[in-house]
Amino acid sequence: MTGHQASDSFLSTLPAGVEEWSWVPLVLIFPFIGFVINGIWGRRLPEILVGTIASLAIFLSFLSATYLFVTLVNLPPKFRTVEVHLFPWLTAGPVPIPATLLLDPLSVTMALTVTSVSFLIHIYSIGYMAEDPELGRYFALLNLFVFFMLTLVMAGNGAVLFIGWEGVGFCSFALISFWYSRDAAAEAGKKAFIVTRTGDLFFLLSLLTLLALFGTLSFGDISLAIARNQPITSLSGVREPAREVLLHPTGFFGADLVTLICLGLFAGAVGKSAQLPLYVWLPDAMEGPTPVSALIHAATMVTGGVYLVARLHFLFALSPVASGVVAGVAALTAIYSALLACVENDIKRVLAYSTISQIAYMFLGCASGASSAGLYHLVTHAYFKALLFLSAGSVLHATGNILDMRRLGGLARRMKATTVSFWIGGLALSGIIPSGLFSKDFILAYASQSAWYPFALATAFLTAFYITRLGVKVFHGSPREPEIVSHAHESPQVMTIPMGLLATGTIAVSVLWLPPFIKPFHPLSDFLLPSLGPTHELAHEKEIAVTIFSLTVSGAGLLLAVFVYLWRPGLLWGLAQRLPWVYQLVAHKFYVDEIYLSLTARPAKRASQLISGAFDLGVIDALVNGTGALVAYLGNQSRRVQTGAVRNYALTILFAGALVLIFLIVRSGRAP
Amino acid sequence: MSAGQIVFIVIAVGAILGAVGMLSSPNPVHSALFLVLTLFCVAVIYLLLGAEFLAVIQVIVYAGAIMVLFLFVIMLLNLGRDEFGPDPHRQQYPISYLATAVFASVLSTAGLAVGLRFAEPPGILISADRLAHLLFISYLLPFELASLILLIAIIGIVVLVKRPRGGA
Amino acid sequence: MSDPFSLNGVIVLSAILFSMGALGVLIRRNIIVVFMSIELMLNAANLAFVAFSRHHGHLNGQVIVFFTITLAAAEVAVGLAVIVALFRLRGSIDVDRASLLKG
Repeated sequence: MTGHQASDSFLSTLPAGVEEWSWVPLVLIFPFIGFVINGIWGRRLPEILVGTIASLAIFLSFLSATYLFVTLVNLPPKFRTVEVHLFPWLTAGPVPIPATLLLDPLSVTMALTVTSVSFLIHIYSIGYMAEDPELGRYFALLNLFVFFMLTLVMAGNGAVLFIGWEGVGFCSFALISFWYSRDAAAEAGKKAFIVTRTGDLFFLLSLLTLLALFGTLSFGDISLAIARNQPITSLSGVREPAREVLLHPTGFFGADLVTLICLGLFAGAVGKSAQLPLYVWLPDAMEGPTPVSALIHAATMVTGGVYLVARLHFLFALSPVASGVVAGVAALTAIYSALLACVENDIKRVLAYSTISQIAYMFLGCASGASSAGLYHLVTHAYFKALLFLSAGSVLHATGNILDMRRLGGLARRMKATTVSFWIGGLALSGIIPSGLFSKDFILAYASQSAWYPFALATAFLTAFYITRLGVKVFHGSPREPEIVSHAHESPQVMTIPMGLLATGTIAVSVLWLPPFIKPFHPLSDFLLPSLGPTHELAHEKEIAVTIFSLTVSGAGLLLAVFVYLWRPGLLWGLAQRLPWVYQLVAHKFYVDEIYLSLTARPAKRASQLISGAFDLGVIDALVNGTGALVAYLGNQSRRVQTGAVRNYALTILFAGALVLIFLIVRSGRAP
Repeated sequence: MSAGQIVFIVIAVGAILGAVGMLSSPNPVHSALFLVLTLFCVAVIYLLLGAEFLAVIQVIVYAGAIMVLFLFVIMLLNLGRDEFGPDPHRQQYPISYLATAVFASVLSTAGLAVGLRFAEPPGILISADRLAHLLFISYLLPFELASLILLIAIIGIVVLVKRPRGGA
Repeated sequence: MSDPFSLNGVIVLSAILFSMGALGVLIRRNIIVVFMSIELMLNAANLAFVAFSRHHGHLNGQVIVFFTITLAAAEVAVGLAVIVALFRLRGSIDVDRASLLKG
């Protein structure tokens, strides 16, 4: 194993003999070992051991990531990008594709976030899944999920990243349909897999285009080629500097090549991160166990798209069009899914729409030229969204899987720890307390020049509104079905302690990047500088203004929700009665599922009915059956030749031999 | 007619008689003994052709080992009796004789078309050590392969005749 | 130096022996005798090889015969084992009874 070290803005040569890089694959190996152990022996091991092994695997992985982080911090910033060659993997013609890992501030930050949040979710799962008979399969898949996510974030080239990318897709499929005997779960798993695959197709096309252009998929090499404007051989065989090839207009509406590549990459990110229009799988993914939802939403899977855009920010920086598309899609997704969250009654689905909306925020940050801000929000979101999901899981655990918030209420008296956790997560999500306050405000501040700023602000308002609505309806007010609430009890400590740790983490990560008017302290953006490039400084007054403004908006949303749901419960219902079409429209999720069905499934069904009726029966079947009948007839006739008697065969052989000999004699011309 | 010619004709007639006896005797034990006669005659012709080494291994391997194996199996399976009722393929007999006659004449024609003659000088051929030289130098690889085939045959036989565990 | 006897005679003898072996395969039902006929055919071929070796004046033909004899030994052993197995399975060594491949 060798390490390559950065010399330029990105990477390449190395100080020889850097031993600590042999630690890099350990981050990946531990979850994989956990997967193998639980995958093979999970059924036979005692239940407590299964969960312990899985959690321990993630914890060791977290420790390795921490060690790598400390190692990187101790290096001067320009040496903090290391490409680790594991083994030669594929050779596509003249192009070797090795299995490489990229260790840089971005990947370490992601690895730390993924492993720490996943570890707490694993612990929580021990309590939550305690009665499930298939604990081994559950924890094995959970470990595999983390393994693939880590492969994704630590990949040194596009091919390895793609493995991780598809791996998390598969694991999400397997975990969403974990209770596969339930139809809804099986359907949701398939939906998640197929919808994300739609985006992956474009992602793969972009990757292959990059490979064709640069002759490599290594992120380091590609970024270096672009940074130095090195000559590359274009598809048409002309050798030109990299930027000119990428900015070359194509026949596709005159868009330049890099725009098409970026749009393809973003299509993959849209599928994986559940943005418009490919978001439909995420709410259904709630059919999986709640810790799985937490894992998908917080640490793994959906953040993959944001990571991809951040990782390849140097490509997006070349294409204002693609960045504009990202920003537009993000802004629309943010407000759209926030609206849906406001009318959804299923606890977990509210959180799912909230995730879609928050991921859109991250994309908005990345597209506004502040990838570090987007990544900061990714980290804080990982903590508070995991916290919200675990709180929701705790509620489900206590009430026996009642998902409809209209049936709950007044749980706060019985579940104090869960209530406090939920509100910490909820207020952080609303951007009222740190860390959500800071990360969201950075994105808003950087997006304030853009045309999408009003959308982002409106989303902030709606976010505060829907999460407060959820909290009020579940935890406060009078119980709507007292017998459910009276049976509720606080969850065991194996579940509440991870929640407490996540709540602490939610607050604690805010010190990674403080707003300058509090203290000019930004270790995260400094640390990420080598990977994501510089983030321009914002004027203090502007930042203060944005913060005050967004706090006001979020506070307004919170107060409105408290007002209409706690103090004047009848008010909103009266409003909905007066404007029925608005309510219907939103309650049916703007009919998007129905539109999808009528656009895709129904025409396809009609066409296939036509084909199966006339063409298939009349032509294809006739041909196939006719061929079969002909062969059967010929076989029936010629089967008589096969008497089974050895001596008949021998006679035939003898005659044939004589004929061959006669032929040879005649041909040689020596016949007597 | 030279003395060699006479000896050859006598031996050849012996070989053909042995073959006829093998084909016509109903008892497989007798067939085997007739075949031994033919094999001996062939060994004598090898001698006449100057292939002493082959003549010796013909006697040892064929007449000795292989025919003993045949007799052993006949005794083992207690097959020293006639065949089994009327032959259902009796109508095939005339055409079989015809085919054999045709084949024999065609084969002879083909052989005679070459016009074989003794090579000059004969001395170099009559030598076992030259054969050994060929076998162990030029044909070393096939020689070793032959040993491998014998090994495989041994294993195959064991597998074939082993009774399945728990009785046949 | 004139030939001690005619090599063509050896070739004709070889052809006759080979054909008689073939005839044995065609008309005998006893699988053991069929097998002996096959051995006879092998010997006929060997005889032709030696004759040709004498004609060409080198020993390659004899080497081939050597290998043929080796392989014949292996073949006989395996073949007899097959016969034993067949006899165990069907209680008979009639070649006509081994006709499962009948179409």
